[in-house]
Amino acid sequence: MSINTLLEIGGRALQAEQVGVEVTSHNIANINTTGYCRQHVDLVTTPSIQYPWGNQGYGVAIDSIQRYFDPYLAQKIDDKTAAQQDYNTQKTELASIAGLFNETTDVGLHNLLTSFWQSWHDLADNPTGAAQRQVVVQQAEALAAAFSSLADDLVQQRQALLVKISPTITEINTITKSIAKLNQEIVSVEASGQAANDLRDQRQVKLNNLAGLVGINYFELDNGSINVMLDDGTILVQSAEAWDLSYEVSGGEVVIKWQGAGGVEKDVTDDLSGGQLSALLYVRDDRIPAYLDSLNELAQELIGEVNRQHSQGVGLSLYSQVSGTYGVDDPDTPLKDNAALPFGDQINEGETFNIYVDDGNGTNVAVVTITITAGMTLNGLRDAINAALPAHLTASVVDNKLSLQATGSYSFGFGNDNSNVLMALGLNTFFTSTSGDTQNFAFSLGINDIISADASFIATGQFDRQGQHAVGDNSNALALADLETANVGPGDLTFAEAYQELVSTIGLDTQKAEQQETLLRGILDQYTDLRDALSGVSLDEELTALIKFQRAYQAAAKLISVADELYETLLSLK
Amino acid sequence: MRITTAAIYQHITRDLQSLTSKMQQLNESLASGQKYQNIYQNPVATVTALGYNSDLSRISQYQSNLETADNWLTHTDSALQNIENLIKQAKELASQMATGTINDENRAVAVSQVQGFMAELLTEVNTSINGQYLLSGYKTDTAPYLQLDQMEIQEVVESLQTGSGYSGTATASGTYSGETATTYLVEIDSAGAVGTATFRVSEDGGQTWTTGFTTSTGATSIWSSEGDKGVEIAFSDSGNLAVGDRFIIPVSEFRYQGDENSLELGVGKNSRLAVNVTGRDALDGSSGRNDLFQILSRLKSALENNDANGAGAALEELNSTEENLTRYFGFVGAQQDRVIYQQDSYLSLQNNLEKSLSQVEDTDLIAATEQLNLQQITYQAALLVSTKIMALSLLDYL
Repeated sequence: MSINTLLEIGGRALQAEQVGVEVTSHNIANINTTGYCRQHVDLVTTPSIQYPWGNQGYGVAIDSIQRYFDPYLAQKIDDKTAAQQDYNTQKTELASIAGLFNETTDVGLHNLLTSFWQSWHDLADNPTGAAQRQVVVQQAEALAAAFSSLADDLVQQRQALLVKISPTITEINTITKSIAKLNQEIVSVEASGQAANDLRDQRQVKLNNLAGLVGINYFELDNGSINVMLDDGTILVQSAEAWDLSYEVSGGEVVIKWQGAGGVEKDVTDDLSGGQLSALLYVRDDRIPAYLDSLNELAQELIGEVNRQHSQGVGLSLYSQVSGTYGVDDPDTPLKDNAALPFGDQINEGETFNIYVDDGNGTNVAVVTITITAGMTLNGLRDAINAALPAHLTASVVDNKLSLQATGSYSFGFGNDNSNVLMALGLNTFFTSTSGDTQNFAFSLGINDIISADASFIATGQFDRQGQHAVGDNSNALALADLETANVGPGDLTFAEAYQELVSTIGLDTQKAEQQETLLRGILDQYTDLRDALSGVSLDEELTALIKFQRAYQAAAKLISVADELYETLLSLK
Repeated sequence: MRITTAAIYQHITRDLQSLTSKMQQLNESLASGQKYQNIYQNPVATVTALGYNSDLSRISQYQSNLETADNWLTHTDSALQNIENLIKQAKELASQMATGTINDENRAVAVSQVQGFMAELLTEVNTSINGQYLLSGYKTDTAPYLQLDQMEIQEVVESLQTGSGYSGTATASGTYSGETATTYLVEIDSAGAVGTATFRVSEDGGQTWTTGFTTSTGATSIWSSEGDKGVEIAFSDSGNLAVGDRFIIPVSEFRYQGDENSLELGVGKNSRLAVNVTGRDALDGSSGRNDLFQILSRLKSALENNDANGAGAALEELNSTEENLTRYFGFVGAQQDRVIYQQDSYLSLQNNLEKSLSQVEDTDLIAATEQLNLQQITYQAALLVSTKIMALSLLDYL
């Protein structure tokens, strides 16, 4: 025991308290740093020295600098972040789709549908009115435009989501690479036996960022590095190595691929869960296609039902020439179930329809009944019509569509169609859509050119048995107006109800995502509070600690000066 | 629990954010008057509102259809009213003329009166609104009755027995050689197919019959006790004729050009309202003897011939025509009642729906304002407390 010991104790104490001040200042400096865990210096007593009078303490030593960190909480936060980000992205994307279906405005599809049926009622009230006919055409055009733009907007949304998926994947790849790099650094720093606190904090932030993008699992190895996997176990980061994800569009859908070592690829699209990425994929390739399908189905039923009824009737004018709007793929294949006819499946073989020929002055000259025989082809139908009315009109097949041309001043009309062949071929119909493409009813919904050019062709009445038709006959217009309340739409609902169902589906999807997000944000907030309670920096605490270390430092300095005085006293003994 | 500085600030931010978001929602719903701005705020209510809205539009459409119907019925009613007045005047005239005290000069004067009635009747049955003829059935662009230069054999009117198997048509042809309007009544008196079945003919509404005719697909001359005036009838061969099947052949200088269709308007879900009466129904009745033009023609020729009995017969016929017309009055009246009833019920339905819609869709202004006040107070309190907490720091005391 010597004065030197006293000096040494004082010196080590000075050093220890200084480190204490430094760690405290590090904490204060990083109070607002994301993911920072407060640190504290672990002070221990140095091994005591044995003296005859006992073991005497030999001062303080710095054991290590520790951070307050709970791996369980961190993992919980990452899990909930993945789920919360999933629903948050869903909510954002679905809300922007819901905006397209915002029926609180007057120009929503629902209102246009109502106005469309109203225009048929007005026409039924006055079948000879030119204005009422024009209104039907205008309402139908507005309705068609609304269908097209809704379908187009949905497709645009899908496109926009693809644009968001690409940077998300780039970000995932960047983050996994930086985690691998941090793994490497942590392993090399910790080889000395001391924890790499700040690097670990950085890595934890990266893991949390990654979880927000895609659902992950991870575990720590003994050497301090962390392996990261997708939910299905596909390795993203293994020690210092990271494997990339990539995407491609296949059959209209996005496919996420894992790029393993040596060019090995694996499709992980269906194994992703949580995070922004799976939300983007879900909205893009599940929800939007479902909405689009419903919209298309609605348009298809609308076209089908309106055309079926319209083709039964006759307007104020008869045709001198007319062509079908739908073509077949091959005029020598059967009409029924023809792949290119969107309504080919509706054709009833063995049933008939009528053609009524007029001399051009309002006097009927022929009523013929054409039978759709089993397996009848378009060419067969053409021949049957030509055989039935050789003197009055000529049927031909142009561009795989049926075309009828009256001879001389004759004119003709149709009716009494139980075979549905008129609606399937687009003869005497009201609406049109793309031929051969069954996915695009909503987008391609349009008005038959004949009707938009001359509204007097709108079929308000029907031929009687003798082939007469009167201008005041509103029976077909009434039947068309009745479609409004008929359960002939998708799912045996009315058209309006089917659309309401679509709107409520979109609304409920969005609402569910919003509610889930709120719930998860609450849970996440709780876990964040718990994490903060453990790892967060409290200014009061640090200021107190600062004073505590400052005072201890002052006391240690006093020790040195006391030792100095002791020496002085000793040296002054002469 | 250990509370950290960051946590304090986080909580302050979170709480203030949640309060402002609530205030924002209340503000929007107050400013727009609508509870929900987006379909996902309450999808069920939004869709319910859509349903109410389309119900409301449909009802207003039905109401507009009912107005059109009312227009048709009112005009039809007044046309029938005028026709009835004509019948009444004609009856008065006929009953005067049927008495023996009236001399031939008086009757000659009355002829021009009857002529006037016929011209007036033609105007009345050809009433149109907005260029549409009311009594033509579907043929609204065609005047129901056309006056010809001479008597003409009109289209055959079929009146089959219930259960008759006949589905063909009968066609009248020939050149009428008589001068006055008349009606041939052809009645099957022995059942069978065309070629087997026989019929009898009457020219006076079934009082006297001439028998011994056989149905044929070719034109068969028919005549009555009043002689052969060149009228022929042919039957198309389709099914068996039954005893009592009647075919009426009017011969008249007035030709009915309309059809038999009943014009209907949609006034409810699967509900139609007939709004017209055809000229043939109103003036004809079923027997064919009641055609008002025919009766007036006969009255006229009776007066020309100074035939008091003929005028008396015409009076009888006018009575029966008036009776027939009354039936259609009743029909129009009943339809008008239905219009009024429907209008009333739609009006109350509309009120109810508007109320329901408002409950689902509209902001409850009082409740929302109260809530907004409450939120404001809460927000002010939160701000006050937050600033107090934020101002506290150990630093101030070191």
